[in-house]
Amino acid sequence: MGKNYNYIFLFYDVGEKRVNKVFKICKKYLSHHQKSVFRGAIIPANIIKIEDELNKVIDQNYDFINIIKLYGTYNFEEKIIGTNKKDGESIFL
Amino acid sequence: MNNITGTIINYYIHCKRQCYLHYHRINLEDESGLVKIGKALHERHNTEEIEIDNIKLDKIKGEFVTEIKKSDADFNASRFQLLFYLKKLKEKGVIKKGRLTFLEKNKVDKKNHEILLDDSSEKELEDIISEIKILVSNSTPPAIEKNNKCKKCAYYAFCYI
Amino acid sequence: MGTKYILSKGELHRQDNSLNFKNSNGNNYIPIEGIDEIYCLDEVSFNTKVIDFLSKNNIILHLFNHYEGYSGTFYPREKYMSGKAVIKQVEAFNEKRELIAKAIVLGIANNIHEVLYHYYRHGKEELKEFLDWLKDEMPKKLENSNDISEILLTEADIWYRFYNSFSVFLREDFVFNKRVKRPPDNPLNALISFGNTILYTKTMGQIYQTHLDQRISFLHSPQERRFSLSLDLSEVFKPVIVFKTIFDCVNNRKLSVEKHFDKNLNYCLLNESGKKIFLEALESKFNETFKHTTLLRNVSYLKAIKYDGYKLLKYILEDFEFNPFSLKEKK
Repeated sequence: MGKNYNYIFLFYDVGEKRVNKVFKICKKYLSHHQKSVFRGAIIPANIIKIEDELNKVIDQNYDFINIIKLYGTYNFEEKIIGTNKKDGESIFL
Repeated sequence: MNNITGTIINYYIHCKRQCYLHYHRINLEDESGLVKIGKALHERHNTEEIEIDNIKLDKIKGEFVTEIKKSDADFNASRFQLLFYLKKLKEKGVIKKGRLTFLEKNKVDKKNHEILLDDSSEKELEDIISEIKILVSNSTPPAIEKNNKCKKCAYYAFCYI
Repeated sequence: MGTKYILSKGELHRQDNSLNFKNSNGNNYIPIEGIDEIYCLDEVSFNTKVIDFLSKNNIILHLFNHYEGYSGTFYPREKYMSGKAVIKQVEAFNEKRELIAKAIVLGIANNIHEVLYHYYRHGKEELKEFLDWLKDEMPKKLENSNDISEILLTEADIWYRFYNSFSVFLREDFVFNKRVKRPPDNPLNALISFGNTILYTKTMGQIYQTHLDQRISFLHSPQERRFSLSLDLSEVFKPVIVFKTIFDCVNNRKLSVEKHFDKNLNYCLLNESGKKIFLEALESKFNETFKHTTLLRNVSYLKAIKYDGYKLLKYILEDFEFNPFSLKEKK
């Protein structure tokens, strides 16, 4: 069943017809970060759910989704180069 | 006996305090991350849940009623829960065998277990039901019995705070 | 799990089983599974479809006017209902109201003591008199109080003395003459009012996750507000969450009187950037975790509020001693 991961990065490369479906599933659980990248805090049960939902809509032989699981935001460092116009994870809107 | 459910039976074997609180609708399962994981896995493996009266059966196929559990942490509690379903079905004139399926096995030797409602287990179940009726009629919940299994319980924070 | 603060004008929509807030920046997707509270601090339009969707997902919506004034909360249908708990809560109001109220007032005093002791230890000896009063005289006075109005007087006295102590350790330009509420008249009053309101609404969200009835309160009169239990349970957290955050923002110069407030003849409010700084600081305080002495696991201050709800529930159901959150629960 795995460990208690609470934060994920999700990258996808999927066929044009399925992009919208994948996007819709991701935005229910995570913040939109870059064109085909989502990220955010997520409870372990929802990691199972998002995986199951994505599995149902993708073409297993063609599409590629990568999920990086982390314990939280404290165990990595990030650097931004350029400008991020919209920070989906901000608490402010 | 209508307000007694499979979950109440399971909890009674597992922890009398949890049984009492749940019966009086102090239900805290939704507050637990572990319970949510259990539910998500349950959905992954089981899409044919059937509801009859107050009871939810994971699967009925052929002569078997199957109850799916995430882990075998409390075998006996799961066993009586399933026996309760078998008894409920028997009262409706449907005689079935039971099968317990554990998604993860840690304590017991195999994933699938056949459970039968025979005279002796039916008697045991009836005794448990009368004990539950006495327990829940008390004005206060039974005291906390500190135990290692509490750490994984949805009621942990409630009991230990 | 998460909170969003809407500080811009826009429209909140239900879209593809999730949320979309449209403002001048375009689409802002809010993950429905990733939040449990939304604060609208500016003009936001929405329809019943959104309300229904929020309700189904147990999300609470807090509404404010443009002047930081709290206008109300959309509170979903109760997810927890226990007839037994409601009956016991009413019984407790009739039979043990004073005991619960005293426990809360004592809790306020304990936490104020803990917070101020820090300054005392760092050389602010003028605080000694107040600290001693909190430990000796006040509890005696409280013990001899027989009715709720006496208890409330003692509570008011604690806060009054607490506010008076600010001049000892707070940066000069923030010190104020007296507590003024609606509307606040100077920067410190603005911070206290806004901070207490955020705490009050957050507490409501935590009580929502318990079987307690929001309307039946003990220290405050149940007639005071619709959800008066939240006023009760938030009291002991004011020193710990609201005031500690204010002292930090003020003394560490995160907020300045000139840059972060809008001052008018008869009111003073946080401006846009001030609001962001203060909310961010409050939010990180709510999420700050500590190892709990009896639970032996990490607990955030936000969770600690919910756990005070559990304590109260245990008190009314089975007579467990009710001791509201104390900073001593930190291991």
